[in-house]
Amino acid sequence: MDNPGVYTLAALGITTALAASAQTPITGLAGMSAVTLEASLAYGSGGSTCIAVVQTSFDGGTTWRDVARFEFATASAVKVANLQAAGAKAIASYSALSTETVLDGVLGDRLRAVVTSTGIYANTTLAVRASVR
Amino acid sequence: MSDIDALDEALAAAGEDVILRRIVGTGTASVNVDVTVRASVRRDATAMELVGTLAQGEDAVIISPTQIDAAQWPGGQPESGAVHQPDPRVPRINDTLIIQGRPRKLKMVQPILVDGELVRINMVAAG
Repeated sequence: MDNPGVYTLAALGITTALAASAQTPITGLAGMSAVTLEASLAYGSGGSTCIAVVQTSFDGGTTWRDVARFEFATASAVKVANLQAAGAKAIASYSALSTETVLDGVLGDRLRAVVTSTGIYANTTLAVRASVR
Repeated sequence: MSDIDALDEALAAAGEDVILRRIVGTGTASVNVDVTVRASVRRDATAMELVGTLAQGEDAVIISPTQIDAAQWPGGQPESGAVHQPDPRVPRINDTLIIQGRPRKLKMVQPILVDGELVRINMVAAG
Protein backbone atom coordinates (compact mmCIF):
# COMPACT_ATOMS: atom_id res chain seq x y z
CA MET A 1 0.00 0.00 0.00
CA ASP A 2 1.05 3.60 -0.53
CA ASN A 3 0.65 5.08 2.92
CA PRO A 4 1.49 2.66 5.71
CA GLY A 5 1.92 4.12 9.14
CA VAL A 6 0.33 4.85 12.46
CA TYR A 7 -2.64 7.17 12.36
CA THR A 8 -4.75 8.69 15.09
CA LEU A 9 -8.41 7.94 14.47
CA ALA A 10 -9.55 9.73 17.61
CA ALA A 11 -8.03 11.66 20.49
CA LEU A 12 -10.58 13.50 22.53
CA GLY A 13 -11.56 14.44 26.01
CA ILE A 14 -14.74 12.70 27.11
CA THR A 15 -17.08 14.90 29.13
CA THR A 16 -20.80 15.19 28.45
CA ALA A 17 -22.57 12.36 26.66
CA LEU A 18 -21.74 11.85 22.98
CA ALA A 19 -24.28 10.46 20.55
CA ALA A 20 -22.32 8.61 17.85
CA SER A 21 -19.78 11.38 17.36
CA ALA A 22 -18.07 10.59 14.07
CA GLN A 23 -14.45 11.68 13.79
CA THR A 24 -13.04 12.86 10.49
CA PRO A 25 -11.64 9.90 8.56
CA ILE A 26 -8.12 8.88 7.73
CA THR A 27 -8.07 8.46 3.97
CA GLY A 28 -5.63 7.29 1.33
CA LEU A 29 -5.38 3.78 2.72
CA ALA A 30 -6.06 1.89 -0.49
CA GLY A 31 -4.31 -1.43 -0.48
CA MET A 32 -4.09 -1.85 3.27
CA SER A 33 -3.63 -5.50 4.00
CA ALA A 34 -3.91 -5.31 7.76
CA VAL A 35 -4.52 -2.86 10.56
CA THR A 36 -3.72 -3.12 14.23
CA LEU A 37 -5.99 -1.01 16.38
CA GLU A 38 -5.32 0.33 19.84
CA ALA A 39 -8.04 2.01 21.85
CA SER A 40 -7.23 3.46 25.23
CA LEU A 41 -9.34 5.17 27.83
CA ALA A 42 -7.52 7.25 30.43
CA TYR A 43 -10.20 7.46 33.09
CA GLY A 44 -10.67 10.23 35.59
CA SER A 45 -14.07 10.12 37.20
CA GLY A 46 -17.78 10.00 36.56
CA GLY A 47 -19.35 8.74 33.39
CA SER A 48 -20.94 5.41 32.61
CA THR A 49 -20.01 3.93 29.22
CA CYS A 50 -17.72 4.91 26.38
CA ILE A 51 -17.77 3.03 23.09
CA ALA A 52 -15.43 3.50 20.16
CA VAL A 53 -16.41 1.90 16.87
CA VAL A 54 -13.87 1.80 14.05
CA GLN A 55 -15.39 1.85 10.59
CA THR A 56 -14.23 1.51 7.01
CA SER A 57 -15.83 2.56 3.73
CA PHE A 58 -15.91 1.25 0.16
CA ASP A 59 -17.64 4.21 -1.47
CA GLY A 60 -15.51 7.18 -0.61
CA GLY A 61 -17.00 7.78 2.80
CA THR A 62 -20.68 7.85 1.89
CA THR A 63 -21.42 4.59 3.68
CA TRP A 64 -19.47 3.23 6.63
CA ARG A 65 -19.15 -0.33 7.88
CA ASP A 66 -18.20 -1.32 11.44
CA VAL A 67 -15.03 -3.37 11.70
CA ALA A 68 -14.20 -3.13 15.40
CA ARG A 69 -16.02 -2.11 18.54
CA PHE A 70 -14.23 -1.22 21.80
CA GLU A 71 -16.19 -0.80 25.00
CA PHE A 72 -15.11 1.02 28.13
CA ALA A 73 -16.81 1.90 31.37
CA THR A 74 -15.34 3.54 34.47
CA ALA A 75 -11.77 2.39 34.54
CA SER A 76 -8.68 3.05 32.51
CA ALA A 77 -8.00 0.36 29.94
CA VAL A 78 -6.07 -0.31 26.78
CA LYS A 79 -7.58 -2.66 24.22
CA VAL A 80 -6.11 -3.95 20.97
CA ALA A 81 -7.29 -5.81 17.92
CA ASN A 82 -5.86 -6.82 14.57
CA LEU A 83 -7.72 -7.00 11.28
CA GLN A 84 -6.54 -8.55 8.04
CA ALA A 85 -7.70 -8.19 4.47
CA ALA A 86 -6.00 -11.32 3.21
CA GLY A 87 -7.71 -14.66 3.05
CA ALA A 88 -11.08 -15.70 1.77
CA LYS A 89 -14.15 -14.61 3.66
CA ALA A 90 -17.46 -16.40 3.28
CA ILE A 91 -20.44 -14.38 2.15
CA ALA A 92 -22.33 -12.96 5.10
CA SER A 93 -24.88 -10.25 5.65
CA TYR A 94 -23.49 -7.10 7.18
CA SER A 95 -24.81 -5.81 10.45
CA ALA A 96 -23.45 -3.12 12.72
CA LEU A 97 -21.45 -4.39 15.68
CA SER A 98 -23.56 -4.39 18.84
CA THR A 99 -21.04 -5.95 21.19
CA GLU A 100 -17.30 -5.70 21.69
CA THR A 101 -15.98 -7.65 18.74
CA VAL A 102 -14.41 -7.30 15.27
CA LEU A 103 -15.52 -7.91 11.72
CA ASP A 104 -12.36 -9.31 10.17
CA GLY A 105 -11.46 -9.40 6.51
CA VAL A 106 -13.32 -6.21 5.59
CA LEU A 107 -11.05 -3.26 4.84
CA GLY A 108 -11.76 -0.41 2.42
CA ASP A 109 -9.55 2.57 1.66
CA ARG A 110 -10.26 4.67 4.74
CA LEU A 111 -10.94 4.39 8.45
CA ARG A 112 -12.72 6.47 11.02
CA ALA A 113 -13.81 6.24 14.64
CA VAL A 114 -17.26 6.90 16.00
CA VAL A 115 -17.50 7.62 19.71
CA THR A 116 -20.55 7.19 21.90
CA SER A 117 -20.62 7.87 25.61
CA THR A 118 -23.16 8.03 28.40
CA GLY A 119 -23.00 9.89 31.65
CA ILE A 120 -20.72 12.78 32.39
CA TYR A 121 -17.03 11.97 32.54
CA ALA A 122 -14.39 14.24 33.99
CA ASN A 123 -10.67 14.29 33.32
CA THR A 124 -11.06 11.38 30.90
CA THR A 125 -9.50 10.95 27.47
CA LEU A 126 -10.09 8.42 24.70
CA ALA A 127 -7.50 7.68 22.03
CA VAL A 128 -7.87 5.33 19.07
CA ARG A 129 -4.87 4.65 16.86
CA ALA A 130 -4.40 2.48 13.83
CA SER A 131 -1.19 0.95 12.55
CA VAL A 132 -1.94 0.41 8.88
CA ARG A 133 0.13 -1.77 6.58
CA MET B 1 8.37 23.62 -8.99
CA SER B 2 5.48 24.40 -6.67
CA ASP B 3 5.76 26.68 -3.66
CA ILE B 4 5.52 23.68 -1.34
CA ASP B 5 8.16 21.73 -3.25
CA ALA B 6 10.51 24.69 -3.14
CA LEU B 7 10.03 25.09 0.59
CA ASP B 8 10.44 21.35 1.18
CA GLU B 9 13.66 21.38 -0.79
CA ALA B 10 15.01 24.28 1.24
CA LEU B 11 13.97 22.68 4.54
CA ALA B 12 15.46 19.34 3.56
CA ALA B 13 18.77 21.04 2.90
CA ALA B 14 18.92 23.48 5.78
CA GLY B 15 16.19 22.60 8.28
CA GLU B 16 15.90 20.31 11.25
CA ASP B 17 13.38 17.78 12.44
CA VAL B 18 11.06 18.95 15.19
CA ILE B 19 8.01 17.32 16.72
CA LEU B 20 4.66 19.07 16.46
CA ARG B 21 2.46 17.91 19.32
CA ARG B 22 -1.22 18.38 20.08
CA ILE B 23 -1.97 17.49 23.70
CA VAL B 24 -5.50 16.30 24.37
CA GLY B 25 -6.67 16.17 27.97
CA THR B 26 -4.66 17.04 31.04
CA GLY B 27 -2.41 15.38 33.58
CA THR B 28 -2.42 11.60 33.65
CA ALA B 29 -5.35 11.57 31.23
CA SER B 30 -3.48 13.47 28.53
CA VAL B 31 -2.79 12.01 25.09
CA ASN B 32 -0.13 13.24 22.67
CA VAL B 33 -0.78 13.38 18.95
CA ASP B 34 2.63 13.87 17.35
CA VAL B 35 4.06 14.39 13.92
CA THR B 36 7.70 14.93 13.00
CA VAL B 37 8.03 17.89 10.68
CA ARG B 38 10.98 19.46 8.91
CA ALA B 39 11.40 23.01 10.10
CA SER B 40 13.47 26.12 9.83
CA VAL B 41 14.14 27.29 13.36
CA ARG B 42 15.70 30.64 14.19
CA ARG B 43 16.60 30.05 17.75
CA ASP B 44 16.70 32.56 20.61
CA ALA B 45 16.04 35.74 18.69
CA THR B 46 18.74 38.33 19.18
CA ALA B 47 18.34 42.03 19.95
CA MET B 48 18.36 42.74 16.22
CA GLU B 49 15.12 40.80 15.92
CA LEU B 50 13.31 42.55 18.76
CA VAL B 51 10.82 44.03 16.37
CA GLY B 52 7.20 43.24 15.83
CA THR B 53 5.98 40.38 17.92
CA LEU B 54 9.24 38.45 18.14
CA ALA B 55 10.89 38.91 21.52
CA GLN B 56 14.17 37.67 22.89
CA GLY B 57 14.11 34.00 23.83
CA GLU B 58 11.49 33.08 21.25
CA ASP B 59 12.00 30.83 18.25
CA ALA B 60 10.76 31.74 14.79
CA VAL B 61 9.75 28.51 13.04
CA ILE B 62 8.72 27.80 9.46
CA ILE B 63 7.25 24.50 8.28
CA SER B 64 5.51 23.25 5.18
CA PRO B 65 2.33 21.18 5.32
CA THR B 66 3.96 18.15 3.71
CA GLN B 67 4.61 16.00 6.77
CA ILE B 68 1.34 17.10 8.36
CA ASP B 69 -0.53 15.97 5.25
CA ALA B 70 1.31 12.65 5.09
CA ALA B 71 0.51 11.83 8.71
CA GLN B 72 -2.96 13.35 8.45
CA TRP B 73 -2.17 15.13 11.69
CA PRO B 74 -3.88 15.77 14.07
CA GLY B 75 -5.92 12.71 13.19
CA GLY B 76 -9.65 12.25 13.47
CA GLN B 77 -11.52 15.32 14.68
CA PRO B 78 -15.18 15.54 15.67
CA GLU B 79 -17.23 16.30 12.57
CA SER B 80 -19.08 19.47 13.41
CA GLY B 81 -21.13 19.66 10.25
CA ALA B 82 -20.41 23.36 9.96
CA VAL B 83 -20.11 24.69 6.42
CA HIS B 84 -17.04 26.74 7.24
CA GLN B 85 -14.41 25.21 9.46
CA PRO B 86 -10.83 26.18 10.18
CA ASP B 87 -8.21 24.02 8.49
CA PRO B 88 -7.44 21.31 11.09
CA ARG B 89 -3.93 20.91 9.67
CA VAL B 90 -2.91 24.32 10.93
CA PRO B 91 -1.33 24.17 14.40
CA ARG B 92 -3.02 26.12 17.16
CA ILE B 93 -1.84 28.48 19.83
CA ASN B 94 -0.63 26.35 22.78
CA ASP B 95 0.24 23.34 20.63
CA THR B 96 3.76 22.21 21.43
CA LEU B 97 6.89 22.11 19.31
CA ILE B 98 9.69 19.94 20.60
CA ILE B 99 12.84 21.54 19.27
CA GLN B 100 16.06 19.67 19.98
CA GLY B 101 14.33 17.90 22.83
CA ARG B 102 12.93 21.06 24.42
CA PRO B 103 9.17 21.53 24.47
CA ARG B 104 8.09 25.01 23.38
CA LYS B 105 4.55 26.38 23.28
CA LEU B 106 3.24 28.05 20.16
CA LYS B 107 2.48 31.73 20.74
CA MET B 108 1.66 32.67 17.18
CA VAL B 109 0.62 30.69 14.11
CA GLN B 110 0.41 32.24 10.66
CA PRO B 111 -0.74 30.00 7.79
CA ILE B 112 0.29 31.21 4.35
CA LEU B 113 -2.00 30.37 1.44
CA VAL B 114 -1.27 30.85 -2.24
CA ASP B 115 -4.22 30.56 -4.58
CA GLY B 116 -6.20 28.95 -1.76
CA GLU B 117 -3.60 26.29 -1.03
CA LEU B 118 -1.79 26.07 2.30
CA VAL B 119 1.88 26.31 1.35
CA ARG B 120 3.68 27.40 4.49
CA ILE B 121 3.14 27.90 8.20
CA ASN B 122 5.04 30.54 10.16
CA MET B 123 5.09 30.17 13.93
CA VAL B 124 6.58 31.66 17.04
CA ALA B 125 7.43 29.26 19.85
CA ALA B 126 8.46 30.09 23.39
CA GLY B 127 8.63 28.71 26.88
